[in-house]
Amino acid sequence: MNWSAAEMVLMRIGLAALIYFFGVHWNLAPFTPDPSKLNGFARILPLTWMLDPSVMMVLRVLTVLGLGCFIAGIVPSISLLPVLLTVCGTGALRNSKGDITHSSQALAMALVAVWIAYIAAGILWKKWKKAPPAAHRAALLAAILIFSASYVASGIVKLKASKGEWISRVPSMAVQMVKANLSDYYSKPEGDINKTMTETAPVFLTEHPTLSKCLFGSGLVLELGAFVLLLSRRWAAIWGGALLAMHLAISWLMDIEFWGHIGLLAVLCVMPALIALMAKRSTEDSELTDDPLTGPS
Amino acid sequence: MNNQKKISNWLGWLIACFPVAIALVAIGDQFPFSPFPMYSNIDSSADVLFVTNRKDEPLAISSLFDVGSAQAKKRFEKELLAAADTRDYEKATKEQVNLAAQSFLQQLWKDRKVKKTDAQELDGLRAHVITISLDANSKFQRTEQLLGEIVFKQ
Repeated sequence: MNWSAAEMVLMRIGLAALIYFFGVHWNLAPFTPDPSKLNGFARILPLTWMLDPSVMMVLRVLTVLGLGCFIAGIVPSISLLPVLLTVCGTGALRNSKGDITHSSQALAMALVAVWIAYIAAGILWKKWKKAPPAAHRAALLAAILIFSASYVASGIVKLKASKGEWISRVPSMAVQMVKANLSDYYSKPEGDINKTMTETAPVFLTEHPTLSKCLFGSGLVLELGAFVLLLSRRWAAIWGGALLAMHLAISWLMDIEFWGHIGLLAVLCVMPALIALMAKRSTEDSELTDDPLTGPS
Repeated sequence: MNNQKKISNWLGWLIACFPVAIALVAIGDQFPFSPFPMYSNIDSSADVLFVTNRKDEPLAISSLFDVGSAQAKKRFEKELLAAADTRDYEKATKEQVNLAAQSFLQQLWKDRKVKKTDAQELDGLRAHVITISLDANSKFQRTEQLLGEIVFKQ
């Protein structure tokens, strides 16, 4: 991927904003974790001290500073450490509570990949203080690599759990659709239950099993083929755009929002192609308006 | 880019991507890593948990207890696993379900977001479950059941 330096700055700004707004659980309610139910990062480090609001305020400042340095490319291998601690710490604590939050998990994985890439780039090029463009490129590619691999993993898990019969079971997805919409209603019961999503649409899907297989089956194909996000700017935009549409459809049908995934697809896959398109158009426009004899108009 | 280079580019990224994907599947849901197993096993029935007051009026658990219905169900299932060695309430006895529901509600109340709000108004909590399923003719069936309750001393 031949991103320009300016594009990579924009991608880092986007990634930093996503991590700050969707990657950290800033308002974790205090709780006492059960030592036998600790999850992931919380099994390696004791993290309950993070539940103190004053500690969280310090972490918030350090996270903002860390993300600022990451955008500017200043010692990212060190400046991303407090960001990693905050993202992985709050996420692992929340998972230990039983509240699995997959949206922030995608951002956390991308952050881990970025950090590892900066360490590797530092060792390789011996430039720690100011990361060179090649290090930024490696870091952003690493983020896309783990992100695309997570889609492939999701597809593999579907095939493994259903013993290869996932698509034939798809008509039952209508039940999950009712469940997701009712769960959302009972989380904050206001007004009436959305009957279109809990009655009309699920009944339509069960009455048209072939259509539902095509609809949800295409999602599985997109997941298993997600490695193409790494091939080129064009493939990233096409496949990323299709995955983005899939997430928006899930959000509409099931009322489940994966803002982390949506944001990563927009920032890492679709945005670079849009920038290139805009740059190409502006070059074409200037070529049309510039008179070669009199210079730029 | 000629075709040979294109093919090697495809194969290169495929080879780089799949070991990472396999590693994510092997690690499982351990923050920050996840293979995103949502809807990997599509059952023809599903449960929705909700919490009410003792008049059976549904409570806004996301604002009161900082937890959504889906997460609340996972927490109840953890309690059920401890009490009855199963996550399926239909496989547990009524007493085990009741015990797990009480433990779940007590923990929910203990960790509530706003300590003072509604403490005077609520005289107890009830956990209910709605089961949605498809029958042999692909028609929806829906049942509702009270799992358990806790009563606050006034």
